[in-house]
Amino acid sequence: MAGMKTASGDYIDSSWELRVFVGEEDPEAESVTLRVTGESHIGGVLLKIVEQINRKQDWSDHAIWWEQKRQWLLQTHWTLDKYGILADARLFFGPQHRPVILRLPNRRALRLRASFSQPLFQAVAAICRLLSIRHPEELSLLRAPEKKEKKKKEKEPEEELYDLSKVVLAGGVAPALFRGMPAHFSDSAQTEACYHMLSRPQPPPDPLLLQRLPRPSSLSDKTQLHSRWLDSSRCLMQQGIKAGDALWLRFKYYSFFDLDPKTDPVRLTQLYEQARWDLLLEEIDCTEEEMMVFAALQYHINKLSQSGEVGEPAGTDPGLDDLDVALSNLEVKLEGSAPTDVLDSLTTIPELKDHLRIFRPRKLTLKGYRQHWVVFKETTLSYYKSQDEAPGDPIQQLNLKGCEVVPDVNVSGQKFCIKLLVPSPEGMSEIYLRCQDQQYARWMAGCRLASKGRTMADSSYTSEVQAILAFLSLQRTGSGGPGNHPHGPDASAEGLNPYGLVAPRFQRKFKAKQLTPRILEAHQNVAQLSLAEAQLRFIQAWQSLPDFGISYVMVRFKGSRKDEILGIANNRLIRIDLAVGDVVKTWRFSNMRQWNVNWDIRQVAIEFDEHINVAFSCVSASCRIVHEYIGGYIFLSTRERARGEELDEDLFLQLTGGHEAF
Amino acid sequence: MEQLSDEEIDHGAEEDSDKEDQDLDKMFGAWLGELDKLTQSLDSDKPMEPVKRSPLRQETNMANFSYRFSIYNLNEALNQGETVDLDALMADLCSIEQELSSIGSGNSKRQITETKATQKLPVSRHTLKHGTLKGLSSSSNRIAKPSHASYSLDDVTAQLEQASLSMDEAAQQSVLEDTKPLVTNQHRRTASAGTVSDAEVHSISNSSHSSITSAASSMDSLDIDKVTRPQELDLTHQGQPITEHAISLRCSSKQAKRHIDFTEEQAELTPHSYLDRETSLLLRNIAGKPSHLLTKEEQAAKLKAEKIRVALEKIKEAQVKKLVIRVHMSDDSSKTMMVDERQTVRQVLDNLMDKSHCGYSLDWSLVETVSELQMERIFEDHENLVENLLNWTRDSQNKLIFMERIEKYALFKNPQNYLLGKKETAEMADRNKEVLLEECFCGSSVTVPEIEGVLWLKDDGKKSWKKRYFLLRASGIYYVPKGKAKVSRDLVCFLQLDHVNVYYGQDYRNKYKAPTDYCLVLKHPQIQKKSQYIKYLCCDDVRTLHQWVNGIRIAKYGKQLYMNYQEALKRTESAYDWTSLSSSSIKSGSSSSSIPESQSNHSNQSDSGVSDTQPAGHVRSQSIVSSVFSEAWKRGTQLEESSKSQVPNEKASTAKACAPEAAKTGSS
Repeated sequence: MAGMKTASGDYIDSSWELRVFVGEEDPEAESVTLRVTGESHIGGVLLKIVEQINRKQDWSDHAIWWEQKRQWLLQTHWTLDKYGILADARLFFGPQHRPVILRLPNRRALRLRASFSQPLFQAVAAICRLLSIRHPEELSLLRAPEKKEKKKKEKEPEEELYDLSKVVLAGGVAPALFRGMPAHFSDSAQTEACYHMLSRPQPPPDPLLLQRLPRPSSLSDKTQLHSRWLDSSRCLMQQGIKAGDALWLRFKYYSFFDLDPKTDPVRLTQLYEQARWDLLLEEIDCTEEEMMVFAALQYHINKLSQSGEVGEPAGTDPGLDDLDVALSNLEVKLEGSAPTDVLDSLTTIPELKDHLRIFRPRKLTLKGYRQHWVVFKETTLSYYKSQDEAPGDPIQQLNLKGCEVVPDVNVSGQKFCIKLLVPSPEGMSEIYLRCQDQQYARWMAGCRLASKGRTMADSSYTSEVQAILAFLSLQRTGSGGPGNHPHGPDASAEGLNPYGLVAPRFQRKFKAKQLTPRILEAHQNVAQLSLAEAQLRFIQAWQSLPDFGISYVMVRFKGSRKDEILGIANNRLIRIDLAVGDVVKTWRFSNMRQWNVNWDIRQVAIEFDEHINVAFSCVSASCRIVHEYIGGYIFLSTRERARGEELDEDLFLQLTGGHEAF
Repeated sequence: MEQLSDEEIDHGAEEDSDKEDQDLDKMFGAWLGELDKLTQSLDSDKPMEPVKRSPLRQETNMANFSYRFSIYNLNEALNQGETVDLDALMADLCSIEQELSSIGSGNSKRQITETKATQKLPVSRHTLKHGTLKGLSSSSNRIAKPSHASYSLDDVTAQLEQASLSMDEAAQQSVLEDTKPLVTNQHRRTASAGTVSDAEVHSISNSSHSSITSAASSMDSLDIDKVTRPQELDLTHQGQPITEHAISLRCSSKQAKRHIDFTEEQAELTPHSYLDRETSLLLRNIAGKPSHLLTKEEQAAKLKAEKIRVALEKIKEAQVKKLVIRVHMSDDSSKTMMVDERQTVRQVLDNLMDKSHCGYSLDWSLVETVSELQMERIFEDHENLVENLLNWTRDSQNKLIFMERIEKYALFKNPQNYLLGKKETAEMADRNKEVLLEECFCGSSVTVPEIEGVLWLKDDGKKSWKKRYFLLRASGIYYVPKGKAKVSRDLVCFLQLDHVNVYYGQDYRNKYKAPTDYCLVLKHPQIQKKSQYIKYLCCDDVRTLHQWVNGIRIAKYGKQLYMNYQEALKRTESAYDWTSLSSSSIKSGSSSSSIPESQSNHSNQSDSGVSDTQPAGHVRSQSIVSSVFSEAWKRGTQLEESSKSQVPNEKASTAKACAPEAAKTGSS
């Protein structure tokens, strides 16, 4: 027992006084003073501290943080001597889990308690478990960028802060599903709302806000982001993070394993959000055509999530439908009892007949639209001079199967055209149908189905018509353009505001009314997708961009006198010219033999097959970040083999850890 | 469902009439008018000669076709699951032909037509078959079915005319009411549409709309010719001529009565097929006017209905149509075979390999040559063959060639040359190849290789070529506009790949004055003639050409391509396994009939028979069977690979431009 003393009050054992501050790192904090010896165990010290404080409280999460050494004293059976603690040690008795504000990939802020004592890798894993995101090894945390104080004060609309700090997750077991969400979310309306925020895509951002957000203008700008990654082998406390600090949660390694829309709603949504912001903020470049597809998918996803159609639509095989119809049809006939008209209605494929104006662009003709009597039956469109001639031969008959259908609609201009590009052995015939407002939806729906080889008898015809009608009304409300009345995130539910869907450089390049039809055109190819499918499609399209998944770091190669960019992707390293942006050289991980880091001179040396050696020092980020990226990707590439097994944390830390790890 | 019951050898005309069911009355009037004109002209002068000639010409032409649109609706339900052998089928068809003609000969008026029709036919095997069909159609002229799908419309028309000539006025009138106008009508339409086969095919399928909707054939199938099971035919013969009803029932009920009236008198004349659907309708009609009908017929109809009911469960299979195609072999011979409309190219290839005992190399390919445009394409294994063939025009000189093409899977044998975007060929360890392929194809999305560089683009309608810097992206092919940098935001989209296929151009240096012969062409599969919608690109060397073509294939088909390769590899490997070698020869015996069951067996067998799924072992040809040790095996394949490159060159005399190039790549 420490603290034995003589009658005069002198201590006769080798005990000494240890002062421990209670609470977080705060010099003003209350403190307790204990009498300890070098042989005191940490566990005993903890017990004494609690006794001294003499307050009824759950202290189980508390531990001692040694400030000078920047380490937690977590081994309760170790003695003070073993730790090397002397009387001058500044110790803090505080909770290991502290609240942080997490900025999610969807840019929403979420308050939760993160472990400040475990290596970041484990802390992230715990956070991901709470958020029900599988494969936490793909994510990590970044320091929030330093905000410029002035701007912040100007105007920052009070944003909603979701709070999960009260939620405690039972350790070890996978959270059970309850009411369609992990059980721990269904406790209160508040946490439920939080789950919805996590698992459902956010509405498009305000275009004005989008324009104000910082965007990288050069490759070196793109390196900034990657200098902020935290070390995964050290704990938050060690990295100077304080309770209440803001951190970003992001997918760090662009190698997404086993994405499953069924089990991964949160992961899928957050990944989609990260991809979306990547594109909107021009972190990754794409072409105009690609942007339109991305915009159409965003529009579609937003529409579905707003309307609450989160579940999978009852996607039945249309071919089977037909068969069923045919079968029942056959039955009816075999019965031989069905009245004729029933039979007729079953065997008759609905058709459209109407006066439409038709325009066929040809060389050397200036003819405009001409009125024709048009009959649309099955997948074939025939037109006649007049209705009277309809029983005769049409002027032309076109089978629309396999054709391209392009809407050319301007609601305010009362223009409802359908452009058809019909393939034939001679080439493509181009034909424009000009409809009246009320005709358009039915004809358009018919054309779209016909292009897929289906007739208007198809079960999807009605829904297609409805979708087109919805579009038209949308165009009516949305045609005002964002210039006059900036749409907030809420307004975008009704109208299509194209500026919230495309990167700002397209906002500068195109007017809203130019963008809208192009987005709608692209939308028709994705209109049938369910929410999860559309998100997955978005992610896949993002992944197939040439620049996808490259993390940029500014480095200086050994022997070179100028800075260059090192791109790190999931399978290769790329040396990029800083000024021009051209790829100079690519090395693949599959050819890599070993890599070493010289922490003193901050140099990374890599050896590839055939005695190719590369060495560089890191300029924009610490070489630890480069090291972690390489090690991380190597680790991720082992997952296929270890499928279904527990995450091999040791291997990860071994591959990514710094010299402390050894 | 018509197939179900049967045999509609010949209801094309009725189908036609269905097409317009809605305005049938109107149209009918119009046709009558036309008919009058036609018959008048036929009577007054003698345009017989030219009329007769046309079918002749047509036929000789058809004999040259590399494939024909003869689709057999095999009713498996009625088949009782027996396999359908092509030869057997042909024999059957021949016998039917004879039967029909003998029956037809009972009627002296018709005999003329028929004998004429049959005499004209060349005797070669496939033409015989064609002849048979024709015989059928002509013998059944009264119901006048344009039995050969799109093609034979001409013949039918001509024959109809003949028939009408040879028949007496009254009979003629009634027949033509049924048939003729429709046929002519279609012809005219076709002509005006400017499209040939496709329009026709579709118009026919349109015309058979009632069958489409009511029957299970609701997939907008090209039920071009439905030749029915011989047995069924026999049945029909026994079971009385009920055909008239078939005719009439196709039409709206009002019409039906009319038809019945006149068909009645013809009842004895023609043996007819009928449809189950019609049978049921018939039942109804029977009730309506029993005075007209024999109880025998009624019974037969009921019997039929009963049968159909039994067959109902199997309707899905019954749905399947078959197409007879001619496949040119690399030695200038050709094979005629039947393909099921659901068959993939892989399945057809398997069949062909089994049949032709040519070994199971991965490189066996079905190559489509579009002779008019001088281009060719290797069909991908997952593609539907029938769908592709239906894009050909009816007078097409296109060919389907079965040959070994190294470039088909060169991408997977040496991925480093295609996926890394490098300029020079390189060697790579097998292990690394695997890793590379996995990286590219097995992730959550496929990585399209970064291919970019200067290509020559042919100007529309001119024989001049311009240089542009092109880039391949997953979303399409782009080029860098003049004076701009090579950044994504400034790229101009040249082409998106959804609607086009990539072809190799052949000998474009001569044809289009291309800078080199290494040309690739991008076009919509339906386009068969020169058009501004076809894009021609020319590469500086063969390597670039193959990189681009393979890059485009990856962008277009993605993971499917790799799955095709693995499937092909499995097939090859199982064929080399000793045990499965024997089993596969057994297989080949049974699989010559291309019924779906046998196909599924195939894949099962090959699945189970795989001894070694490692893609690293590139098994090439039978000659290496002797190598027992894996090392020797590997070495052997490598040797084989280089020596093999000559093989397609010799064998494939049909492939003009590309095979030598392929050889170069292979050996390099």
